[in-house]
Amino acid sequence: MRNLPPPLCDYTFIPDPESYIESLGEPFPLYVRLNTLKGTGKEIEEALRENGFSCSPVPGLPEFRRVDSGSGIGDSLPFLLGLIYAQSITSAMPVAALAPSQGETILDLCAAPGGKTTYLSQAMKDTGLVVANDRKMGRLTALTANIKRMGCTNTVVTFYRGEMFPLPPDGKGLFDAVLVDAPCSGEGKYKLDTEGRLLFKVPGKTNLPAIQKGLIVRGFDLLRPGGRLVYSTCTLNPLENEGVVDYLLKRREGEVLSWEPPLPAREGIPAFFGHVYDSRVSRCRRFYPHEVRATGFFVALIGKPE
Amino acid sequence: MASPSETGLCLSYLDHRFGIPPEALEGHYILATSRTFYLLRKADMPAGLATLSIQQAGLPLLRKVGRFLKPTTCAAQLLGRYARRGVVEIQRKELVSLAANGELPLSKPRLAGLDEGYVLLRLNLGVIGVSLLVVDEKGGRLLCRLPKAMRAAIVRR
Ligand SMILES: C[S@@+](CC[C@H](N)C(=O)[O-])C[C@H]1O[C@@H](n2cnc3c(N)ncnc32)[C@H](O)[C@@H]1O
Repeated sequence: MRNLPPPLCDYTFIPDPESYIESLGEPFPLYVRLNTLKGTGKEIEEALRENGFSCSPVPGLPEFRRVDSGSGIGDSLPFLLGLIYAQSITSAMPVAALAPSQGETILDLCAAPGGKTTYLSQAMKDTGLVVANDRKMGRLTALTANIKRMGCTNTVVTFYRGEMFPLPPDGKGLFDAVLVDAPCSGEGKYKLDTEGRLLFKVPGKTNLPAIQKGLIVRGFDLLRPGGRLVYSTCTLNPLENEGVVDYLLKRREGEVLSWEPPLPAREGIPAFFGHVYDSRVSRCRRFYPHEVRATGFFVALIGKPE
Repeated sequence: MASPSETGLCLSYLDHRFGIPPEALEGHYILATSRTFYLLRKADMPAGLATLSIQQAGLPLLRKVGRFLKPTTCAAQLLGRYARRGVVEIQRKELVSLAANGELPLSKPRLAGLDEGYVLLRLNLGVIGVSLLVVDEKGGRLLCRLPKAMRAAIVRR
């Protein structure tokens, strides 16, 4: 059996590591979300077909299509008209877990470039309010461009460090739901280069778990009683996932809620590198790249008591 | 928030120039900055949100260009389906030529029912954006007012 390449060699929790390693060398299919704010699914499919893209449905995700053939989707007319958003199916999972309803007030704390913001807006049928926040001014350009392209009128953009997003003076919490799609090491996107070496981000000086912990706590504090929070990353590292949820559970009265995703998923892992986590982290969901043929993701749905 | 007279100005401009009825904007606020009007969905917002510092609220609807109003690309795309006039139907090939050359001649028969000024560009898939129509003795010309990135993508394709 082959070993997991560094820096993943400690990840003995990855199921079927052999096929995981295999998957690192394969491209994943391209998926698009049909923007039903701008047309019916049928109309958009027809537009894609007319522009040379053949697509097939994705079980459990009615707004998504797998693009089977066609090239240059980012320059295509359906793209320029805001009829589609190229998006991994796993990136839909945090929004699916949050299950936004029409008329709600929702905060997307780390929003750029807006894949989930615009999906939230679409799921809310462009009603209520989405506050899309990011701390990087440079990335707000892409965020606002996507909001405009997708035609979301229920969205406002803010520019705060997520950990410092203003709390209401009455301390009661503002939002029905908060999405913390945190900055992370991005291990769920790892691929092998043409020579079989793992392409990965060399860890910088940034202490990601520390940032993530600050974000999840502030996100939780911004919820109204009875509200729900989704914490997600596209990394496999438990220190950035279960470790962060565990941190919140130790400091706030949150509850990890069960959730049945429409894609194959595994439970959160109970311990890593000597850290034993709160047993409730088992209700978190892990999406492994080789099991979903898409970017790996981690999703935790957390409720705030009434 | 835009003043009642500014809101009235936006609504009557869209109605008179493009036949977009005010009802198409129902359920939205119109907000004003010095150069732009924005379209924001009305919602019951918690009072605490009022103190947030906002970078952009909703979608830019109209830009003030000199004495004129110009629909933004995103508003043209969103509201274009309600437009009953001020719309130029163009073919894909013509769109590429407009994006590449910055302008597109329009023969006299195609000018019927159109006034000089901003017009919406409609492809069979829907309205893609805005152009400026100028008319002289020879006929008309559309001047491209599509965003740079969109022009580049159309040409690349
Ligand atoms: C994983 S990306 C978000 C992707 C986005 N949710 C989407 O679906 O398109 C993480 C984002 O967090 C932002 N970010 C990093 N540190 C942050 C902080 N302290 N507060 C708020 N945003 C932050 C980054 O600029 C980046 O845009």
